[in-house]
Amino acid sequence: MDRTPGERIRSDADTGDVEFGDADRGMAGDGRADGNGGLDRRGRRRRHVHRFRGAQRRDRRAGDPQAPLDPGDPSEAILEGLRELQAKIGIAGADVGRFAHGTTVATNALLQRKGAAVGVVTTRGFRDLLEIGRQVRPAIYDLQVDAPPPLAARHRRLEVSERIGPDGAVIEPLTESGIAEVLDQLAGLDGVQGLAVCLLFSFVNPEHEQRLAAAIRRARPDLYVSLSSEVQPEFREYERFSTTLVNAFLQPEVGRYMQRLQAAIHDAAPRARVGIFQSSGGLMSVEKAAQFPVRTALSGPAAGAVGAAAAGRASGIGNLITLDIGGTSTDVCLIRDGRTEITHMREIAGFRIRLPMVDIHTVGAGGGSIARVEADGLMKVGPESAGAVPGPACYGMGGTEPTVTDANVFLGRLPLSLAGGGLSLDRARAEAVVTAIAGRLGVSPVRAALGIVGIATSNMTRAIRAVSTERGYDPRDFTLMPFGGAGGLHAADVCRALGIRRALVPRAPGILCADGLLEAELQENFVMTCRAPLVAGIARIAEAAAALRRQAEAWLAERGRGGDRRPRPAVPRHALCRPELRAVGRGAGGAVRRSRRRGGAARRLPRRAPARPRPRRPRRADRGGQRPLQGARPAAAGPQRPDQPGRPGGAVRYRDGVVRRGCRGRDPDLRARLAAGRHRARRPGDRHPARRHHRRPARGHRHRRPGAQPADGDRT
Amino acid sequence: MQAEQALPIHLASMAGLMTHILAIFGDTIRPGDMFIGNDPHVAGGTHLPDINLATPVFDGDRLVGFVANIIHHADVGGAAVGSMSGGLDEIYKEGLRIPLVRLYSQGELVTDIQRLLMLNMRLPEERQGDLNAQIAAARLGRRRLEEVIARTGTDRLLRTFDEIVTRTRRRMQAAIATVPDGEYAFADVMDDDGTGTEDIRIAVTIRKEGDRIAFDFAGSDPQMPGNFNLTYNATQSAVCYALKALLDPDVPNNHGIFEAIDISAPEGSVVNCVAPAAVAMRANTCQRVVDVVIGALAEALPDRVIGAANGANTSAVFAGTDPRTGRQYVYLETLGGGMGGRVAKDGKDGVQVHITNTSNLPVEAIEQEYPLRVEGYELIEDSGGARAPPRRHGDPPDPAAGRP
Repeated sequence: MDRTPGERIRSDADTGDVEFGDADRGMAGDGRADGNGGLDRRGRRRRHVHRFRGAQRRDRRAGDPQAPLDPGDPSEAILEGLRELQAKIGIAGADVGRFAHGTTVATNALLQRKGAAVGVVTTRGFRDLLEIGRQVRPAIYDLQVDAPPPLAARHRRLEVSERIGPDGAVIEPLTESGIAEVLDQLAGLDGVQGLAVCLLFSFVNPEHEQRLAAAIRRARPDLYVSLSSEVQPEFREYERFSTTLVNAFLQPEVGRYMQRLQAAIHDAAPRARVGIFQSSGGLMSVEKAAQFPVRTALSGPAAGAVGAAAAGRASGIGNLITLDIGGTSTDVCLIRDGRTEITHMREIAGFRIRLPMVDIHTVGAGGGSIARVEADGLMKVGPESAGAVPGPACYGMGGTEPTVTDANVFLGRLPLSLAGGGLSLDRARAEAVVTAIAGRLGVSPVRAALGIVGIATSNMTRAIRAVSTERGYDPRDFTLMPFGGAGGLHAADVCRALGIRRALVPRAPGILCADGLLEAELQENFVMTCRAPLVAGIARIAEAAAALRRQAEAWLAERGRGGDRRPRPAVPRHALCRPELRAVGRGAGGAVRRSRRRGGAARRLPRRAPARPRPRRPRRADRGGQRPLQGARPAAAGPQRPDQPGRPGGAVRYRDGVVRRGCRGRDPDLRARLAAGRHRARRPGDRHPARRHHRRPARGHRHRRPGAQPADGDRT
Repeated sequence: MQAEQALPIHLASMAGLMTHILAIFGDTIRPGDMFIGNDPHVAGGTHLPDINLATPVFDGDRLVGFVANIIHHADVGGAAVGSMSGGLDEIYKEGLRIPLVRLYSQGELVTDIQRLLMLNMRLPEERQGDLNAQIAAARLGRRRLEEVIARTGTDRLLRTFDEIVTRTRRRMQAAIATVPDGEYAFADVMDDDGTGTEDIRIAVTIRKEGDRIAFDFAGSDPQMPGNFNLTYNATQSAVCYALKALLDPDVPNNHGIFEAIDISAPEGSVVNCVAPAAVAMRANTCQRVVDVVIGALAEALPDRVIGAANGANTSAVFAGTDPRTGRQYVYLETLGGGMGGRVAKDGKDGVQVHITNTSNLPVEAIEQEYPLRVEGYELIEDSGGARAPPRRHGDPPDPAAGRP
């Protein structure tokens, strides 16, 4: 295990990469963790917060031989990290009060398609619905690429005679003999470990699903059973069924993992309350995670976004765009008013999952992205990446194609020694590959290198537009938060390209994920579909919202009790109700956020940027027309920390972080103003204070022609 | 230039639009104009429900280009609800024919035109909503292009466009050059045209030499009485899609592709029809053209071709009065019929193929929106061809109009 000087620990990423404090990760790549952990030690006078990351990926640093991925027990890496941390800091397991954990086990299982053998029970006549899906093919012009085969093959998709109608009424009852027939068919199926029960309109009337599941569980206690009315009770059956089937697919393995983890943590830290990170950005109990493992899919990047949001809040900046640049890909996320944006539909490995998830957009652009000249004579950068091995040419590990890192090294934008001396870069090799591609393009090597960086920037910019402009937000109203291995390096270019005037660089970008875990609150989402016209049906809508609120309050009340049934002191809790509206005749809805605070301190973050209604919809001719309310989704959240009235004490760390602007020129006053806490987001019409120092505008920025200001409401 | 995820059937749907607009309106085009048209015979359209909207973009007084979009409207009048029904034998029966006219003149709505349009379409409220979406999109596109012009200047912008098109053509030509030189021919038939004509022949001869490739549809039957005829640009979409899919799936969608491919189709034939030919169901014929092109190139590219797909663009239209509300409804559903077998694996069941990729409507949405009950949605066993040649299934859903 290497040790770097000071208060830092680093260790080989093969067995477990443990960092804490404010270690920098360097530019070497994006070794992503299989899990993150955060500890919250209950000190007598002050809280100690320690973050660490356990990883089981191969080491991406130069000089290390490629180690194969060691499957083993992922929870072991976490516990190893915990033990090391305890040894280093000298805390006892009994002092650990809280343990937050984010895992990529589910995501990996989906990507590798390694999970349970699953079956489905569905309404008669619809067993192929899961296979047909939306009947679209994933790549329009590719004759060879298909959507992946369904997780449950046809012979494992059973039908039951029953039918519920669109308003919940029973059209065909579920009889005992019908249930018996299903159990018979089930008995004839070999090797099934998990079952998804997916009936039409179960989100309106779950009774048939519940009866069927109860019978199956009685007859077959060996099976893991997932109900669509529990996993994702929302209309549009394919997405609901697909999410439920993925849940069933993941349940056995993730369930066992959670059991092992809980037992191990219980041994190591018996008083710790354990929270598992969800892709929605909050935490859930281990029991919930075992029941709904699909909620942990894609939770990894979400933790980074939540950590970023917390870092921004602590600096008084609520509107951020995160830019997480790794070796192969870049993740971007929009954070508004201190909260990450949420989406409700994602595809992982070709499987549709519909759940509230932190909206992160990923593009194949990173430090290792390869620059190539294509058949049309134009240079493209990525999505292919040189990865960690052979890596960029300048790693000297056999890479022969020019990458973004090579361009950066050649241009002198990267030092030749990184990671505290652990990684040294070979400029001569970088120059060689850049010169080669420059020759093919007929330009100078410097021009080619600038082109590579420029195209990479453009790809990242496009990703940012996908989460901002395309949703009706102007990126210029946001602050960029770069992190990841190469975030800081490209931040200024991206800012310039988008007109963003400010970047907030976290001091410890490598542990934002762990930060996110600690900052995350215990969260549960409740959803209900209620179709009613907005005006005439407002009473029904209010009733639906009230029902959801009751569910949320019941959950909050139950969480309010400690594990030993003692009531906890009052904690800040809030419930956010998000109705989704759509115009009559339209297909999709847009969420309108409406929030309610309950108890505890209100969030102190002032609004820094004009709020935007979202999303924009073209106005219909009859504005007074009816708008059916599509779904209401309140999310209840309660922080897991009972002994804090407001924001955690760890916030202080970011207040004097470095703040950069995305423009050339320097403003000597800016630093002083920032230190005095008088910074604010750019507003339309602001003259930039540093402009008087400019000789000419930054490249790509042409000032608007006078008189060409966009009309209000016209800006998109 | 066309968006990456747009349906291939529209590769050439707007190709001739600018030529038509310039020819008709020439010097009278002004900023703030918006042109609308759908007619396949005089306005560069392909079938009446697909309405084109185009707006010019200026740099001062100089016309730089157009921003255009196209929407398939759920109904444009005519004999059948949904304007898409077999059995119609002239274009006058298929709906409202819109030549290229101004919908907006220098920013002002031409209300006469709008009233004429809305009177001739069923459920005009919905149609107006969709039309508004087109108008909003065109305006936004125009604004974006103006921003780009402000940043880079018109000359540089046009040079860049030219360069992109040129490079795309070169890239397509490089891909074409990989096809073995020679002459390849294939023919197949459409089963019937809905008015009694059967076995309508589509024939193609492909001549490939160097980096040039020519498609000659001589030998195809004359245009049919029924509404499965193709305009030239619809044939163009089908051919370009087939080549792109076989040779270079990632090539950008722009005029550079057209420049690299020669297509000759006899005027008055099923693949290059003239007025008053009916065309509503043209997508089906496009699918057969794709099958025929792939069939011809099977000899040249044996590892890349696939078996014939379902060869159709099946749709069903349900219409009536909703007894729960008293309002009219029109519901169009498309059905994915499955892809042909590949060299290394079976065809994919139940998907949309080739020139289309439209999604189905969820059962739960159908039953909530319309007074319909869906009794089943499944794949039909053994409805594809025999295994070797490979197998594929068709999948008709079976909605039954339920009682209210």
